[in-house]
Amino acid sequence: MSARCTVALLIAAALCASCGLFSDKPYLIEGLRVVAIVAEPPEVHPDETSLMTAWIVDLTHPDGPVTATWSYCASRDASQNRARCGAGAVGIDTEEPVTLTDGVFASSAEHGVNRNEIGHVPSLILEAGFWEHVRVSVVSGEEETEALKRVVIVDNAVTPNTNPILSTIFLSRDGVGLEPPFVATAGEEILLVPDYDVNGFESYRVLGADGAWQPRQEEAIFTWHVTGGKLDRWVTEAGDESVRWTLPKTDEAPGGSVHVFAVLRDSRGGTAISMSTIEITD
Amino acid sequence: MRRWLALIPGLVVLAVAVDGLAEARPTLTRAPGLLEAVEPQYPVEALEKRIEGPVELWIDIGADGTVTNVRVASAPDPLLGVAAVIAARALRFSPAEVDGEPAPIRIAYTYQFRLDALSPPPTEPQTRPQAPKTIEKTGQPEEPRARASPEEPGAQAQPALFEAVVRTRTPPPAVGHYRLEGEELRTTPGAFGDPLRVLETLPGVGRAPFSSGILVLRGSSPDDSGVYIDGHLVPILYHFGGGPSVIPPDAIESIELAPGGFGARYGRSTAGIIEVETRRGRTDGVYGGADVDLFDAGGTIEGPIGELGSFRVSGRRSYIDALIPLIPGDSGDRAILTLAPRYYDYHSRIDIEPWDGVEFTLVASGSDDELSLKSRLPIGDVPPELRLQMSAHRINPRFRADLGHGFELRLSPAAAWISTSGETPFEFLDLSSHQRALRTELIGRGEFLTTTLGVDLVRDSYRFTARVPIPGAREFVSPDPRDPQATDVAGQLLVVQTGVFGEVQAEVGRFRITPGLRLEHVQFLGRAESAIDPRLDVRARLLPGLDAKVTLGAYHRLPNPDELARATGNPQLELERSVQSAVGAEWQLSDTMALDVQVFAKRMTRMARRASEPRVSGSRLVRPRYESDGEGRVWGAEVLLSRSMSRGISGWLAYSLSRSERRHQGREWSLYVRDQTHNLSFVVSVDLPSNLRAGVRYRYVTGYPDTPVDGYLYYDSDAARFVPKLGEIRSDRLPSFQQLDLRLEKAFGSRDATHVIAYIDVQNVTNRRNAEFFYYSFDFSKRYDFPGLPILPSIGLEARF
Repeated sequence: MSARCTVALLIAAALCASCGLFSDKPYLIEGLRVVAIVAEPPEVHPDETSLMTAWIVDLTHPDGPVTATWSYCASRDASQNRARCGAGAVGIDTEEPVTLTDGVFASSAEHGVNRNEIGHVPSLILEAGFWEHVRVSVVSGEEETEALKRVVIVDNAVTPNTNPILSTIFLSRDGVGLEPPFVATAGEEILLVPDYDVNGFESYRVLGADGAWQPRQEEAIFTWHVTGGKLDRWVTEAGDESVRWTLPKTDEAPGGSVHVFAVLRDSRGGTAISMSTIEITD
Repeated sequence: MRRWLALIPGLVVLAVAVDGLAEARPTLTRAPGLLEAVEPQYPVEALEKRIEGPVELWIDIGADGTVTNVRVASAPDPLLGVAAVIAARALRFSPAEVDGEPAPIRIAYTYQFRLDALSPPPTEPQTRPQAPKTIEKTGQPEEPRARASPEEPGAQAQPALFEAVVRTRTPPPAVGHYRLEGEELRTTPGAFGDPLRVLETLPGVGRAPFSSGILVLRGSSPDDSGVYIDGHLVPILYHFGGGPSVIPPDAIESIELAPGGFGARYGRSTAGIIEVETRRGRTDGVYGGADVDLFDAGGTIEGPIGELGSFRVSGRRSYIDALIPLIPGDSGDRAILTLAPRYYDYHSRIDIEPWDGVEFTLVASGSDDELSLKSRLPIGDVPPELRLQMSAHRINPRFRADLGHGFELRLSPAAAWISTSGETPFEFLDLSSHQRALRTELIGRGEFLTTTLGVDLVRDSYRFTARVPIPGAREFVSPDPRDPQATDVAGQLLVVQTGVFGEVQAEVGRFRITPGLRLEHVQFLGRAESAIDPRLDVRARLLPGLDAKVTLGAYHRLPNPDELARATGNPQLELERSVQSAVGAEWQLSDTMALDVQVFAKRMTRMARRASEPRVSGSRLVRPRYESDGEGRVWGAEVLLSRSMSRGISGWLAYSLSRSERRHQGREWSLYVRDQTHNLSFVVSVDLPSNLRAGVRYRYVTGYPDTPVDGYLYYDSDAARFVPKLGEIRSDRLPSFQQLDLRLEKAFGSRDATHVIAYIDVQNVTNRRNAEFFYYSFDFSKRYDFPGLPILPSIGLEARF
């Protein structure tokens, strides 16, 4: 969008300030959804493997069963990593998903790249990081969804990225921390604060548009997801990580409890996830 | 539009005086006022015989203001006399009053028929052809002597206090130019008194989103069109890039639109151009004006500089930033945005004619904008906060001299300083640019040939620092949906463009043939590119009042600075190119009605396009960011049916049919993002009793192309967002746009003398919800339309003294 159009759009949006238009809640999980996929490790050398784990939520069928099928794109274009490879998708051996708690499942698969398969990739690309798209297709009842994760393959001379560390989510009410098992009143406001390793973010470099290397520093970005209630925001960053969660009414909490997920990403594929559950009372 | 509409405000009506009346005789207490001027047809035969001169008329005006009789007092030729009488019979006046009562009266009225070659500075060559003449007021009458004969018409001769000039214009070398001047610049409904907003109701001009004013001429990008003010290309035309125009309305004499096919005097645009001609100050006295509305207030003062020339100073400042906080606001989730825009602009002009045939002009103009916006929730790809500051200041001295033997020299240097800075939480831009320009023209006018030779130099230097997304950067996808993945860049760019042009206009029997040639040489970043642009315009008089016209031309332009700069673009880009052609006809249906029809085609090549695919070159990975492999094609038809002010009614109907497509690397054609199949505008203004005037504008435009979305394809875990399942590129459309605008104004006092006008101008009076684009819920399960401007009234006052 051009600057001109952006300004005009903003002015129009200002005039439309009371239209009640923008009520989207990306953080609210209402049916079947993949919250995140964690690759351990997020970067590998050729001939190494990464363990992919998809965190799946299904409020419609909290007891399952959920089926998951993993695949990757075999079209390894040197210049562009194709997310959509259609018939080029190759299946990956998948284990049955496991149930973590009511309505929350985890599905895992291992993926690696044989050096011979990427022999055509220019060394410059491999040095910068060549990412391959791995997908998981999830079916539960009549619902189905798909999610994608990039696994980065780097040259042996490059130290691979590692996942950030997210230990847990602190929950507090009026400045007082809650202790598990968490119980709270419907409509109550809870402060969510992630407990993570603030020093676990690394420097790296990227290939600039001019072909020159440019330095970068990983950044901690959190996304927050809940199965009920309302968040005051759903994307936070280092130094300003916390969010306020207004709990739902009891009749809006499936099974009388709600889940909150914090997903921490390091801005280059490293991912960590943490979950908490609160029982809602009147 | 019709240039004779310029008459509406042009003629100042003052009293008729008669010497020697006995005090005992009745006294003229109110002079007749010219309500509706009518332009005579300059007879073709008179043009061919090059007959000119004043036609003096006696006009008898009845007690109701209608013309009851017209008689020729003197005329250089019966041809002109007949034309003048026909026109004068359609004049309309406010009644004269004698001793406070309406009464019949006789006045003297002079039409000055002038041939172009003898007139002072001819207008730009691209003028509207079916009315190859205009009427201008020359020399204001002296103060009314307040007495006139109340006797029956014919009883007493009156001095000639009414005079209009019928002046032939330089015939237009290009097809399909439209001219706006006079009251229609300011009183078109829905334009909020902004002359440049009227353009979008003309053929060939696409609708701009959110009434933003961006120029989509014949299916081309706004970047492909140029706006010239007094002959110089200006980069900023609107406050905030899309708000009110940066020129105070009072400073504008006329606007001429060429949606395509313009002559060799101008280049560096592959679509169309807009020429804005600023207004001289008046020489017959000191005058002023003031305008106040809900958004801004402005004023003008003008007058003579001794016997040498005139001055005019115009300025305007907004106060919407002060008013917005006073509006009761929403709270909580509904308070999405806060907004604080502020702008001002000024335009001053001095014209001096120290010797006959020698003119000096000095123009100083500028504008300054500030905008601060904040949103609580993300809206599509719009940043949650934005600050913007833009300023531009320009000085333009000009010199014109008649060299004798039909030759004229024009020199017009200009210097401009432009700065833009903007900031969002993730991006910023600080850009300053200096422009130096020189336009020199030598014009020779003979009996059958008019020749123009010129040089058009522009030196632009840009300096910028920015944090912006750079195409081609190999970044891992950002997990923050607000993050555009910007990169810090800095750089500078110097561009020197030299244009040499020549144009010959030959009158051969019924034909007017205008071949032109423009040579363009561009230097930038150690490179030099050249282009040769031949252009041809042919006009043929098929029948009296019916012209056929054909135009063909090649055009080049340099890609945008950000597309060229080393830090952000590709310095190896080529000049973009277009070839344009049009065929049409113009038919003067009656004294007041005209029809203009044309079909056109345009082919664009070497268009700069964002490149997404890197290339491996040797051991290096080449990411050109932009490539010169974009193509475009546009074709369509345009119709304009117009009516000049007659019997209190004026207006026009404009319709454009077009298709605009793009592709690159020989792939399938797809619709241009601003393609509009049908574009219909209807404008009418009606004079009502009690000095009321009402106007209506209606527009119907096909919705913009849109790419359909069918849910989501997958959830991108790295980016924390769903990826839409897209259908065929731009295979769908937004709903059609329809809007009705109204304007009602009442004048207190005669419009031709000191007066005040109160008006209300309402945009989208039916409050129709016109979708400007679709946006989707986070998982693409729901689609919403983002509405354009709702009903938007503006109430204001204009005073002239």
